[in-house]
Amino acid sequence: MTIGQTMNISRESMNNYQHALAVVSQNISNMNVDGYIKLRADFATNPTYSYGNNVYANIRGLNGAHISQITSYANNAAANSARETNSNAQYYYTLDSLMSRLGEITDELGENGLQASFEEFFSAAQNLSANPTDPSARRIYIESAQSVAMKFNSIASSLDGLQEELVGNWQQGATIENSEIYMSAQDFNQGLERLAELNKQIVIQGADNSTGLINERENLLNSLSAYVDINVEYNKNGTVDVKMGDMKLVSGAQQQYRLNVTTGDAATPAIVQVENMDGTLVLSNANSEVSGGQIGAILDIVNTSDDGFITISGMRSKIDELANTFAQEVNDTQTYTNGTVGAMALGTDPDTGEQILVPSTEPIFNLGNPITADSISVNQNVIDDPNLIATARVDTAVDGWEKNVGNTDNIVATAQLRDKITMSTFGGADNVTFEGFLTYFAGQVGLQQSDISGKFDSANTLNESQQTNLQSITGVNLDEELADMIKYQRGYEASARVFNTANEIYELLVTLGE
Amino acid sequence: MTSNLMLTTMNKNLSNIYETYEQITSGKKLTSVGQNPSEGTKLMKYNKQLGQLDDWSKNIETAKDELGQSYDTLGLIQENLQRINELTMQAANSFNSSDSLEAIRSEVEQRTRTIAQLANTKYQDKYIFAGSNTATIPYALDDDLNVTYSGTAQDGNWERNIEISEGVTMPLNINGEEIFGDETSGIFATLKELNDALKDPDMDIKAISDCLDPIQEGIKNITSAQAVISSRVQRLDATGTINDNVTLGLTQMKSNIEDTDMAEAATQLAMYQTALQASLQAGATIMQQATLLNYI
Repeated sequence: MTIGQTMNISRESMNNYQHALAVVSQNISNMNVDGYIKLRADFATNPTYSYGNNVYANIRGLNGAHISQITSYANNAAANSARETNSNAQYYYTLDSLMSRLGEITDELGENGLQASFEEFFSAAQNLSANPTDPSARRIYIESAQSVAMKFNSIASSLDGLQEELVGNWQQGATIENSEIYMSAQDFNQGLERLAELNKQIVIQGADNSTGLINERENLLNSLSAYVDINVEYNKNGTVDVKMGDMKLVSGAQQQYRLNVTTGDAATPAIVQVENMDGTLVLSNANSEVSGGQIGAILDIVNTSDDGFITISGMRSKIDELANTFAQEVNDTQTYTNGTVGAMALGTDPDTGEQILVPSTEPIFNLGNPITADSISVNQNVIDDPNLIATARVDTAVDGWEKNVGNTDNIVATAQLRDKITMSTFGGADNVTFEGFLTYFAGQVGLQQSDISGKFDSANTLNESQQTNLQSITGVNLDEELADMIKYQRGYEASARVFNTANEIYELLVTLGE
Repeated sequence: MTSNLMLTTMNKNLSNIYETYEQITSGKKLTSVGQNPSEGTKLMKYNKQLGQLDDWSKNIETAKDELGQSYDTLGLIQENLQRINELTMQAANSFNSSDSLEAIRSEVEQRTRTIAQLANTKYQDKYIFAGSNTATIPYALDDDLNVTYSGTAQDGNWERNIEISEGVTMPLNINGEEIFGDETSGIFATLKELNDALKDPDMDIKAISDCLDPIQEGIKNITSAQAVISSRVQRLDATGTINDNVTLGLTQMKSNIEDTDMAEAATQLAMYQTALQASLQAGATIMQQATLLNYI
């Protein structure tokens, strides 16, 4: 009976609208969940069954509507795009914060920079030249030399400390396990494991049935992309494959590879390796496959490369070079000899007890081959007896040279080292002074710092716009949901009304003829 | 979505405010080379030059002090020599009894010892006329006024140099032997002869008057030494003035790069604060935006 049909259609319709409302309710309640992808109930007409070929038969064949599917607003292209910009932004973020730490270590404009120590040293030399036999002027000179050495030591240890924090100490293999890069690789591996598990669950439950799991998976993929630049491929069966470079790390429900980090050498302190799940090596040096993200940034700041990017070890070797050249030049002047002319320190005449000149043999800085920024130190003998500082430079062929204690030629020569061209900025012939080298080098670091900072700003802005874009596609829009809610409410009301009307007609029908 | 945007712009405004505030309180707008590499490296160069100029100006002051001391001492020596000259003329040209001659001789000896004392003047623990033998007493007089010169020889390495400008050095001292001579020639030798002549009971007038010319010679040496000192001091002053001018210029350039322009910074701070306020207000409005909920 057609009335029954009407009541059936209305009943199913009310049911549909209840279910559709549930979807709206789901969206609204998940509105603030990170990475939630909104759902939509799609209605479709029920297939009609016709038992004849006339209008009345056709009408009897109408069958109402049903909810055909719950569509997810997931947009894989937008998600991938957002992941890529996220990787990039994270890469520059890490680099930017590391570069500013490096900038702090070599802060040359402050009172704690290396240049300030050089200034103190050369000033002390000038002061000593005005008063070569004065014990306090000698003491001040030695103390300023110690201060230069300490500054070098402190810069070296800060750089070493930063590198050790990031990738451990390459000379002691076990220290890598406490390093940031190792922890990040472990986190990454754990993420891959969870991803494979999620893939498996999604396949078992069916992709349409796993919106919660899919959301969790999207979040996981986003956090993985912060470590390394990854490529995500969506498969037809609802799983995803994750590739790093050319290697497929996760294929469907199976994690195929994982990352390991090991120590290398001075030029390449950290090496990322790819290994099978059982621990056997697949790629012993996967550094070229790793790019972007936090791990990529750490590798780039630590490992020497050909493109002129300043790394921590690059900085360390420049500072070492400066320390070595400086110490050598000062020592060479301290123990200067040329034929019969030589540098002289103060001594005592054994017979008369008077102050006389004696040949200077003690270096100011302890010798080394080469001297490095962490090994540079002042000779303890000179600290104990500042008279060993060679202020005079005399010709021993001239009679009576021992008495020339007031001669200042050697200490003036030391002070003039400040303007001597002793170093090279490009690895070729010498073209700058100590401080010229330091200035050039500080400039290079500063340029890199501001360059990275600019790149971070633009990468960050781009990432934010991509994330906003993704959010606008997949995120819950309250107006839309409320509009749907009203739609479904009206639909429900109308269906209920139709049902009641059909019911009244039915009652009338039953009492027809009474 | 809009709340994210609001947060980002608010944070940006806050960091701008903080940065400007830092600039105002510290007085410096450039604190690290990374902020502005080209200006930062210029600043490093200026700092180095200013440090050097400061060192040189200290050296110039030291040189002027020590040379001044030498100049004054020479003046005192000259006074004594002039008096000895008078006494010698008196002994040579007028009639003197043996008593008055003895009186003259006594004063001459007194003044000779004074001159030796002055020639052994110390400045900051260094014998200034000893060349580079600053620990050794240059002129030792014995009881018979025999002198021993222990300073650095005139043709030896007597200069005590300091740097007053890039690559430019100047000696702080003048050579004693050049002015006063040594054991065999020079003013002390002459004064010994004079003393011996005045002691001579034969009253050898010729010997006494023969000393007059060398004494004049001695006075002249002192005058020319003083002239040398004057010209050195003049050079020091000139170099000092040049250094001062360069320092002034560099300090100005350094200030332009490094120092905060207070007026500009204060204006910017006010601007950023306004921007922050505006963004907060706009944000609040957006957050409370009407949704369909209000109208159902």
